[in-house]
Amino acid sequence: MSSASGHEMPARAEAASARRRKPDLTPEEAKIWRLAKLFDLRSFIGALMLIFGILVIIPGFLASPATIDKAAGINLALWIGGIMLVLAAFFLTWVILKPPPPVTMAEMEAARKAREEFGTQGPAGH
Amino acid sequence: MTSTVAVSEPLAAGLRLSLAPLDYALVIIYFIFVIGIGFALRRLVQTSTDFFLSGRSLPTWITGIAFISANLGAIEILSMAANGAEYGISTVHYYWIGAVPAMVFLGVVMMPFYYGSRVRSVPEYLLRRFDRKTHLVTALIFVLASVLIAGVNLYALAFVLESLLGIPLAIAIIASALFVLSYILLGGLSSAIYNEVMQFFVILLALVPLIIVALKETGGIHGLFSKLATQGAAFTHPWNGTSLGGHNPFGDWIGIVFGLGFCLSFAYWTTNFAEVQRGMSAKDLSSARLTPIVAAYPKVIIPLGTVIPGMAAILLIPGLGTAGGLTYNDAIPALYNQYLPLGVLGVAVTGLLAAFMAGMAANVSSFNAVWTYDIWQNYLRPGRPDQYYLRVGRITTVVGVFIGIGTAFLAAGYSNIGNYFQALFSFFNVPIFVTFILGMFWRKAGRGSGFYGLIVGTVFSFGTWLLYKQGVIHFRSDIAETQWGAIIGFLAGAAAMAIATIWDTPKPLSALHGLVWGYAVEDEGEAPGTAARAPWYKSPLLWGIGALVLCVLFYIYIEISA
Repeated sequence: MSSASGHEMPARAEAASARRRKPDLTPEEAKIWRLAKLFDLRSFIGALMLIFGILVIIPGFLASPATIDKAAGINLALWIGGIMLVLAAFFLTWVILKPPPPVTMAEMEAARKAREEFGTQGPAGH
Repeated sequence: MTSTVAVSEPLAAGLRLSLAPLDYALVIIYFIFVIGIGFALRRLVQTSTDFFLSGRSLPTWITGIAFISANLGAIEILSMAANGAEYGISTVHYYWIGAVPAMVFLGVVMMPFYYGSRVRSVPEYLLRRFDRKTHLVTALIFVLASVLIAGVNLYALAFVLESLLGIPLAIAIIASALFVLSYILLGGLSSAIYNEVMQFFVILLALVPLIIVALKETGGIHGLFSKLATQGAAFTHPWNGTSLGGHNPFGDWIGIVFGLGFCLSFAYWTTNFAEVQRGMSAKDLSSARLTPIVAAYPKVIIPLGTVIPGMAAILLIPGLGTAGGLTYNDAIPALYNQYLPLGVLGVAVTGLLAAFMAGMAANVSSFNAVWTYDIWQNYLRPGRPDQYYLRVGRITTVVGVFIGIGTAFLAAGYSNIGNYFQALFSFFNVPIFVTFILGMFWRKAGRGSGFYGLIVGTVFSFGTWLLYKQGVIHFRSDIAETQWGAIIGFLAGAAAMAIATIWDTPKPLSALHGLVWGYAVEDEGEAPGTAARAPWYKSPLLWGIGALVLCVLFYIYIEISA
């Protein structure tokens, strides 16, 4: 999924160098890699926080004194919208700086075999 | 700690929130994302030969957040705020004693048995450790509990939609059920877990404005506590009146520490499949063990967003908890109504709705796993190919959601029924935990003893409740009764297992490999010895102790602030 925690330094370094040199992937593999980056959970969270942050912070800039007064004298929309934009920046930077590693067809096949041997994690994991 | 919650204590009808178009837009955008995740994961299944959905592939931060999120349902949030308003700061016991130690124990001690023995569900462990009787009873209880509680969640969600947004109850029930059904069918467990992680951030953002407003309006923690001094010493001192003859409604220290902190909390966190399933989906044993421990850190600070606003609501919402006024369960919606501006209100409502749906989705996905693997595959149609069981799982999801809809309509007709279901299943929790803990740590426990521990423990905890309700025995409050009922159920179940073991043959050691203490297996996916060489900053023990120390520091901080 994401490469948020490689558990051995050599493996991590290897994956990082693999990312840097843009390995020779078949067109099919390259397409899957693009999808994997786009559909990484961090991209989803980042995009949601970006959209929410913009939509919430705009009324914060336009807030009337009455609105601020209602919320205990705090411009809540500015605060919450700002926190969301920071979160968006964090997740999007993370996924861009550390995208999921590319996976070759051979590796996918090996992973599928391993999974079959283990059995499915549960019917919900289809 | 999940509590038995008064879901049926309705939110006040007059609590209609006035959402602007922007607020509705935020709700709709969120649900487009939820469905989008389902479609995205489905697309990846088609393109990458389900590599991305392989069981055990998720990194620690995802499983850890999903773990806490599966527990951070809307019923939990509303009821913890209600407890804060009614009982005060003692509610933090549910977090710092009633949750964090059990989460640390699950990660440090128990997870290797679940992950290492490669069981696919929590009841399956009992099948391997004990016998088919024990397994069948537990699996049936799990199936019934999860599908009925999914229905109760659905009813609660529909009720909130009706009272806050004015959507008719029947439409709200069916629409939310079909929504949950579609995202589980699309993306399966991965979709549920992804959504839980996304939802976690939205829920936090729904709680943050409450913290800001509550503390600003009452003058910070110190100001809040000094203004609440009129509510009695136990309201702002969590350990006040917890001696055996004391008056703290949360009970005495034996009940809090041993009943809540050990029996109830360990029973919930270490055997609840919806929770443990998140750890089981981690990519290796080390991640699986860190999953509940990563989750323990947010759990330590969540009371800041639930209990503290609940306490502040006593001061800020006139008439809260009084006859004719709003009920304690209304604390959070009432604060939303009173303080939140345009946009922020939309985020808050989104968080609340997402939390309800996640509660239902977690129950539906654990229902279909246990039904398909533990009941269908073991007892009804064994030995079919894997694809067959995947299909059964899909059909089970649909059936489960429809039973949930039925339950929700039942709950709408008889509003107390949700409480009865939750009370009913709470009698089984602790006895199931007894069979696990003795099964794991007492290698001689006989193969049939689990069954007797389960039955006797349940009879005793139910009996305690019955005698309390009949006025035969006395406890200082309902909360104190659940703690002592759990202790009695635990001791009775353990005694029954010990007695049954005398006449029983123990399982041969060869059959206990990976299932009992001292015979655990290392993660087979790793080369021998790699677990020992994991860097110190990934040690579950170290992080676990850190979480416990944090709880102690928070207790000290509360004592000196009050």
